[in-house]
Order: sequence, then C-alpha cells, then structure tokens
Amino acid sequence: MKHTLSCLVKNQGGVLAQVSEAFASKGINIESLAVAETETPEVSRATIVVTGDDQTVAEAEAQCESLDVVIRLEDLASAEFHARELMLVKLRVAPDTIPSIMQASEMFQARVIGMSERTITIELAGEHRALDGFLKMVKSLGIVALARSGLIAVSVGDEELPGEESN
Amino acid sequence: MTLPPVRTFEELLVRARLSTAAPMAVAAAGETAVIAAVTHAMREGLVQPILIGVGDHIRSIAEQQGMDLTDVEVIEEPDPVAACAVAVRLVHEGRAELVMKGIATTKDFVRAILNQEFGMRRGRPLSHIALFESPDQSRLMLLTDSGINIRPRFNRKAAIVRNALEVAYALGIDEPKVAIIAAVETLELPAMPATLDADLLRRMGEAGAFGQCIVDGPLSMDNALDSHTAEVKGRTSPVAGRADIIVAPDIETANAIYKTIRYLARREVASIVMGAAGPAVVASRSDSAHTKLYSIALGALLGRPVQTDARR
Repeated sequence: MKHTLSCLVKNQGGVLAQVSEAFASKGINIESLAVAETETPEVSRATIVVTGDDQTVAEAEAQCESLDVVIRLEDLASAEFHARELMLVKLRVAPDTIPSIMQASEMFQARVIGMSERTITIELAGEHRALDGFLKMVKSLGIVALARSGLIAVSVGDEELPGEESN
Repeated sequence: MTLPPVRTFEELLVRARLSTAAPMAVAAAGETAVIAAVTHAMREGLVQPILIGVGDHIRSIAEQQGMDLTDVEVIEEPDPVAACAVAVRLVHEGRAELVMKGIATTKDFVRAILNQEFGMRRGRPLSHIALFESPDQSRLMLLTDSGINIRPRFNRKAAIVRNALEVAYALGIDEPKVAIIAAVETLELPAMPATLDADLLRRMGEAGAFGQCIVDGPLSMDNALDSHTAEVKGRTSPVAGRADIIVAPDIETANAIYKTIRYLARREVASIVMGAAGPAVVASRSDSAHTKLYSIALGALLGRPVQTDARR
C-alpha cells in the first residue's frame, strides 16, 4: 500500500540521511521525497511517499519518529490531505504537433513557461494522477526532458504548529 | 473566372449581385430597420428573404414604410426564441442559405444556431468577423473576434483564423495576410500568453496548416497597420502594414477596436458570424441602414460565393 508521510524535521545537515536510513533499514524504497523549510526557518517539512506492507511501514515510521531530528511524523494514509506535485516537461515542438500540445495544456490547465525554436517547456502543478494523465497525452509528441518535484502534502483542516497549544 | 479582390463596400454590393439572390431567413423580423434593410437587400438582388415573426406587425410596418412584401414569404411565429429556431431550421432543411437576426437577442439566436437537433452546426466553432474599409480604401480588412469568443484558447484561435480566412477567400483575397495581435512583437512568457499563441499560430501558418495565407505574430497593432512604423521599428514582415485579417487576443481587445473604428473613426463596419452551416448576419440595432445592407451583402456573398481563384 502507498503511504504519504508528512514529516517535520529539524532544518540541519544530515537529517535526510537519517530519515532515509530509517526506511532503507526496513527495505522500503522511497518513491518521492520533497523537502523544504517551513514558515519556521529551523523546521523543514519532508513529504515522503513510500510503498510497502502496512506493518513494515509502521515499523519504519516508528524508527523515524524516534530520531532526535524528527519533530513529528504523520501518516496521511489515515487522514484527508491536500497533495500536489509540480512538473516541468520539455517537449519537441513542430507545427503539426502544436494543436495537440496546446490542447493537452488547456485540458490540464498547464502553463507554457518557455519556448524555443524546437522545444516548448510546460509547467503543470496538480494531483499526481493529473500529471500522469498529462504525460500520457503528450508522451507520443516527444518528451525531451522531464522533472517532477515529488508530492508535497498537508493534512486537511487545522494543524498544530510545533510548540503551539491547541484551543 | 478570376475576379479581383473586393476593395470597398460598394464593390462588395456589386460582387454580391453577381450571384442569384440567396434565400435568407430572418428571425424575429418585426422591426422597421430590419425590414428596411432586408427589403433594400432584396431590391438590390442580394437575397430572397423569408421573414419570421408576427405577420400582421411585419406587414403593417412594411405598409407604413412603403415597402413591398408581395414576393416575400412571411412565417407566423410571435415568440422571438421560437422564431430563431424556425430560421435556423430553414437552413437545416435547405430552404434558406443564410440567416439574419432581427429583434431577437444574439444569445437566443446563437443558441438556435448551435441546436443539436435542427441547428446549423458543422463541427466548427462559431466566430464573429467584422469587415471594414482600410483608411485609404485600398482594401477591405477583417477583424475577429469582437462578438462571440470571450477569451479563446489556442485551438479556438486557430478555428477563428480559419473562419476569417473563409471570408477573405470569398472576398477574392488570394493570399490573405493574417496579423495575430499582441502588445509586443516578442515572446513574453509567462506574462503575455497572447504572444505565445501568436508565435505558435505563425509557426502553423508557415507550415501550411491554414492553407494559402501568410500568418505573422506576435504583432502589435501599429506594426500590423502601418508599414512605416514597422519599418522604423525594424519589424520586417509581409504582413506588417498590410494585414488583411486582424486577429485580436480576446473579445475586449477586438470589441474595443471594432467600436473605435465605428464611433471614433466613424466608419461603416459590416459583420458576420461564421463557422455554422451557413453565414449568420447579426446586425446590431444601432447599425446604420448601410451597415446592415453591407452585412447582408457579405452574408449573401458567403452564402453563394462567386467563383474566384482564391484558395480554400
């Protein structure tokens, strides 16, 4: 089963290596990992997507949570969450493929952010499957380069910040 | 037969008269200006009208104004919405070749055209095309789309270009020069999406996707209209200063240009809706009698085009 984990960690060197090791030690492959600092500069949020049986993932989560550098870890599989991914894709552009490229872009509300003589660069942010759908539509047109940010996610509803008391 | 391009509205009337009068269904025709324009067009030999509306009212107006409806078919349909449906159904059934909006709203008229069951769909988007004379009266120019497509995306713009080309060819312009308008001549991303559409349309045009024509863009209006300005700015293009078709990025731009021509420059502007199974004349109530006549003439010419060498 796929698990999306939202992990608040200390914003310091070596943290990612420790978190990765917690999953690697259980033989779990990290499918995507996106990390950046939060509104509190000392704290970063890592969104980790892993696939594994629930028991093994739970053990890895427990190991991860026991790390000093991990402030809080939440498995979003048990909660509703807002999840988005950013993708940049560079496609070959030719007069006969322009209508198809633009149609796909319009359907998925993607933005063209770059244009050159032979390529067009498109930005698309959205749910994981929307990005997959877009790629499926444009794959035959000639993908030159592709970069995906990996999923970022926050839980739906009110969320406590570290050190804040709930009302 | 090779005919030169139509250069003025007077030439448009002459050209439209070369074909036999096209049957034209007029939806909700019960207004003096509409009946005057239609009967005038009939006298000019442009159309054979079929008037739809309140028969007694239509005949009463005609009688008061001294208009002869002897040879005009009048179909009784007092409801303007239903009258639109009757008009497009006549085209659907082959009894009329073009339609004209009377006092019905444009919304109801377009809705009838798009009706799945009896409308005039042919799988292409509708677009509005305005026609006006160049300042030196050396040619007729087309402007699109000031009336239907609000914020067209790329593929809709391509369809808008195709609809406008259809009109240009009917006017005898062999190789229309199409200016895709933006605020600047360079690609500005992501700030100015219109420049991207213009650039891509130009590429498609260069590849022959639109048939025989020259497409250039992004072009600002001054470069599209004035060859001296284009020269000063170093914008070399066969379209710069010689555009036959102005494709605006959105309805606000096109509508502002249209009304600037009409009310600031005080020039006549005929208009037509293309993309359906036949041309649709959508004259405004405020249009002059001449404008209405020119719009009908354009519709008649498109409904029964005179054969020229212009490529389609």
